[in-house]
Amino acid sequence: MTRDPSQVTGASAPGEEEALVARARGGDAAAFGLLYQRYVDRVYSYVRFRVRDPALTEDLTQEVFIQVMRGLATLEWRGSLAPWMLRIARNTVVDHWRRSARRPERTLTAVEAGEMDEDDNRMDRLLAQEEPGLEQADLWLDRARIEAASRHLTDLQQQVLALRFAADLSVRETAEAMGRSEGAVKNLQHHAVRSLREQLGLGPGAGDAGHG
Amino acid sequence: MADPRIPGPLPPLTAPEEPGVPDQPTPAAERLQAGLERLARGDGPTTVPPGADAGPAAGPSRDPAERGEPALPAASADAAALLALARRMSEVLPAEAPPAFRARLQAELQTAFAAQAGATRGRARPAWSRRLLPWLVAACVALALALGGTLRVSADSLPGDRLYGVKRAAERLRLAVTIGAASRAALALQLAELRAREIGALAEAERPVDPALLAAVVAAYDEAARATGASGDAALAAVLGASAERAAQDLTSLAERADPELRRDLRAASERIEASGSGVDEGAAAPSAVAASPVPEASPSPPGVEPADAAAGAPAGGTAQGPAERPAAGTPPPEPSGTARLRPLDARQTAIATRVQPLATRQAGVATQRAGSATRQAGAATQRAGSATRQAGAATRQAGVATRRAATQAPVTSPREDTPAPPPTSEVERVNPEATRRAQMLTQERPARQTEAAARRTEAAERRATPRPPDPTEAPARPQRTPAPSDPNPRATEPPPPTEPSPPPLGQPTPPPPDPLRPVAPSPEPRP
Repeated sequence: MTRDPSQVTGASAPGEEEALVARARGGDAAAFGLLYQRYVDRVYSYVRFRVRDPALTEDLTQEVFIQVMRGLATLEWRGSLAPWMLRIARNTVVDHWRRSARRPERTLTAVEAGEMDEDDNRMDRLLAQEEPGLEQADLWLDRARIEAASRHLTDLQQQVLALRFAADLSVRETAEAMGRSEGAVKNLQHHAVRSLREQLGLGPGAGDAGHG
Repeated sequence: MADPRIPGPLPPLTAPEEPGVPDQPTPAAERLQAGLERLARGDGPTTVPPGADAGPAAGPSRDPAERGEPALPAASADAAALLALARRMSEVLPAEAPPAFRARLQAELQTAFAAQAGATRGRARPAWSRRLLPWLVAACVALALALGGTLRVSADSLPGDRLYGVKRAAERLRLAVTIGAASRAALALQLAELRAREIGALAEAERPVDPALLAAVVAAYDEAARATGASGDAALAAVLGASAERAAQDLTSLAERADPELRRDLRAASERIEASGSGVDEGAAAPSAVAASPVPEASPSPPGVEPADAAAGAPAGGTAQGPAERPAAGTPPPEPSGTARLRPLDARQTAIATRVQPLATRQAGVATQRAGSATRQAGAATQRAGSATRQAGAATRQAGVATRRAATQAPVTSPREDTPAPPPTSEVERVNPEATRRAQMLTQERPARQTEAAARRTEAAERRATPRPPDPTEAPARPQRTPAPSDPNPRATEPPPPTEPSPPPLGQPTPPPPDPLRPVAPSPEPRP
């Protein structure tokens, strides 16, 4: 499931992305389509990790790209589209939570329920297959565990994890997307991973802390 | 619960747990990052080399071994565990958007993008214009409101007022945007009447009347005549004729008390107005005799002429009133003033007398019509309706006279009055009673002031009617009229303008005219 690095960073040719952006700004829908293809999975992954609801993830992903479409004209090119794009994704998620802040309980439960249903369905499908695809099963199980455990992290920590591991940004890109220094991002990441390990029951105090 | 792929429990870490986010990464954070980067590059295994741990971690070198940092076993094991977890996350967390969603979203986005791009290109509005637009809109709205207010205020302005120009401009605009010959003609007539009323209002306010304004009245009536001719609407032409006649009468009565110079101008204007009114009438209805005859220029008699005319007019007042007399008598306290016109018109009228019958009917109809519309109009309406009624009566009388005359004495002086009211004719008889009734009603309804005035007027008219030839106004048969002393000029009176303006007859003092308050015509007080 790890992304091919070249696909992920879109760095096949340094100037290629910039050229695509320029064409898209000129009204070239095809160029915009290519940019979309380049980033849709990363945005989707980020949003999914943040909201953990497939349907909501799709809605928010669409919203992100609509804003990308509108913002393209005023974008200042800084060498990569990724930080900018993921920053939009981050803000979109935050905005969504603000909008639905009135019903936090309900939202949370719904999200959890949706997530569990989704996972159950996947497991059912997997088990029904001739070849169980153990690796896939492991992957989904681990993802589910990590996502569940990450709920206990702070929001900033979750953001870092989402940007670094789900959206596959570098530290520098993450720092740019979050508007923080690289050092801060590294620290956040470290603490996030360590807390997560504890939440998973793998850390030093695993005996009593294992929620996973 | 432990996942085999995730490292098991490890010795406690020393790293701080506080939520705050220091800008400088801690050594442990740096180590984790370094390990992840190595992983991303695809070098080496997950495990952190023993020496990686202890060092200050500030060095640019990512390889702990190179940095030669001393390794602490516990920390190193901890770091390895974290790194393993991080690596697992980077394997597990990236997701792929479901293909169906992915394709659908792409299609939607590209469509939207193309639409947006097209729209932006089409508009190509610069950012500043976007910022400015709301202000522009607001400014336009404010301007429109202000303009609306100004127009409303300007509607009451008189020549010489500051907003008068605005008023005229608005009128021109209205005329310009009015579509349809009939509508245009109606509007043009309205405007012409407005012009005439303005003169009256000025005079009433004792403000100077610029001869140019008279020219404007004439021009307005010319315009109305043109528009009416263009519309080919006979009814409208009749209305115009009546209106022009009334306006002419008003101006004439004004002339009585005006300075000599202005008097001449006023008379000239009234002639021309009447001419343009009747010209259209005939053009629309009948032979063009009148139209052709330039009543205007020729007729305007200078002040000096008055007396003579008056004299001429007096006789004319004669016999004419048959049936119509009653009503007519009430109304037409003819204004002696208009005399000057008689001469030229007489000729014309004689010619026209023969065909007066039909015309008279039409006129009567018009007068009734006018009376109806006048009622609608606000304050002055009543007065005007009264005058219209008078007119109707006059028309009837005229018709009678004309008929008689046509039978007998076709020649000589046919009061020009006949002509002006070209339209009415055979219906006269029918209209007549109607007009009478209306006149009575109006008289009753009128405010006290008016009623008084009307009563006075009626009295005077009756008085006049009995002794001498009743109808001064119609003056159709001037010759027939015996005593002309009081009614100098029948014709002028005949189309009793909205008010019975000039009571104070110039030359002739038979003042039946108690004269009311006519709006337009300033006061009938003889100035000269």
